[in-house]
Amino acid sequence: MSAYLAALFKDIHQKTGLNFVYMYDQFEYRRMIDGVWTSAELIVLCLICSIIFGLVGAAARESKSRILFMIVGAYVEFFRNTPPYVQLLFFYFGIGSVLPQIDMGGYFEPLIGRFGWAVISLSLFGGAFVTEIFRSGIESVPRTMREAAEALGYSRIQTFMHVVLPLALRFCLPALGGILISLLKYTSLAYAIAVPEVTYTSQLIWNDNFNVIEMMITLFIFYNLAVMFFSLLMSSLEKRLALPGYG
Amino acid sequence: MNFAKFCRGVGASLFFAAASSVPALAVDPAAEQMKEILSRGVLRVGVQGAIRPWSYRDASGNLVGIEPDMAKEIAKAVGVQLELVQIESSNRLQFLQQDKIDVLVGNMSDTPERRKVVGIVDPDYWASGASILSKKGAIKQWADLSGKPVCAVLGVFYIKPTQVDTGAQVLAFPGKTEAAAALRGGKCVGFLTDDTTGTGLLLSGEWDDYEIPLETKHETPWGAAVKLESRDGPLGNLVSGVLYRMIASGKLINLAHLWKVNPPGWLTNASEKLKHD
Repeated sequence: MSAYLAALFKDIHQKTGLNFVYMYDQFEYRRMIDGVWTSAELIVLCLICSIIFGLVGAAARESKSRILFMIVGAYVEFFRNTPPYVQLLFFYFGIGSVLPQIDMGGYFEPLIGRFGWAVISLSLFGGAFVTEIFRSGIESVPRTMREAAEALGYSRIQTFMHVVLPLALRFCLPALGGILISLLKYTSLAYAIAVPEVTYTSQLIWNDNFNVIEMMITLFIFYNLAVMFFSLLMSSLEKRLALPGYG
Repeated sequence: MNFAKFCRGVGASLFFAAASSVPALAVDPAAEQMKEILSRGVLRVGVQGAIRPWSYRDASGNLVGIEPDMAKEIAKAVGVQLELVQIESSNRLQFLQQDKIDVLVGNMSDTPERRKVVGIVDPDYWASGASILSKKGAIKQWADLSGKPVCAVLGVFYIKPTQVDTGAQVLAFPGKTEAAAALRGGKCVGFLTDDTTGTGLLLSGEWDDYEIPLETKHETPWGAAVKLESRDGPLGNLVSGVLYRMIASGKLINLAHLWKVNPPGWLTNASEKLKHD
């Protein structure tokens, strides 16, 4: 925390009443920075895991196995049809209590902590949507492409990996970006199971300092910056992957 | 002619207005209220409906608890019948202001803001604050919480002081239900909550393996109230006197034991201070 900024924000508080307390109070500063870091970790892990779940799900839907197809179908339905908030509570309070945990004398050290459950639950939720988006991308790859690949002697898996997937990825990038942005914002729900991410810490700070408006502004800025950064990443990816002749 | 008549008319009405308003100003609303209660023969006391054991409905639907018992004492002192009126925390001040009740004994913290709108009488009669609900034997003192997870509800003021004083790792949940479920699931060593909530949970019969092992911290006193204009009148002074005697004679502490709650340290101290050898 720089002394100059601290003095500046203290001054702003005295002159305007706007209390960005975490800019000059060491305790609240620590809380805020921890919250921002936890959020950043949560967002990155959730986005990566949901893409992995989506890829696996879409590949399974493409496979010939009927059972795999049905399992993925059930997974997608379950996670799309229930609110992510309910899923979080279900995983943390429901499944979390059934899994083995270590007795610490008066409380239990669980196998998977609150942060872990937030990542698992939100990634599974995001993964369900990503599965569907990848599937739509795969389906929009023209049949003739596959036939051409087959004619060249590609196996089924080779066709999927080298022909279908690269094209499908390009087709579904805009839709994928949209759903991942939603997921990024849904990470704020993790406050429900007391994961100390930025929404949670903001609530703690405004409870202690009665500066709700200032913390709301902070949250808006944080999520706006996060989404802006992510959008830039996605659009540069789109540009890099653009193929002449394919929209 | 017409003008003279008009002047006379105005003069006369001004005179009557002045004459009739002088005795009206002299009427003391506090005294009037007392007279009205006596002629009605009933004292209406506002109490909570679902805060066990302070004031709640028993199996037959009657309002019972510490606060109804206190209301009985007050009605006895006035010498009239008692009528208990169930209030909510959100409307209790309005009930007093709109004359729907005469006295409020309703689990209400004594704050400077409230003192501006209703007549909170001295002395305060109870105090509640932060305490810990935990598995029997899990903790013995506040220092035992150091480094351990403690559940709480987002929005209470004693999260930060507890973190700073004890080094506990506080997990704050959006609601009481989630925090209580987390304690039951063993996700934390204790539930940091106000002792009123904790006692209510213990008495519900579903938390038999649990206890409130630590002394209460950050206590705020509770006050009984009458209408603002009646605070220094007969009714306010009467309620003051009854509360004073109940605290000084130890009657209030006995009530606490009768209803199976630990009297707060604040009350024990107050009782001790007012006691004469």
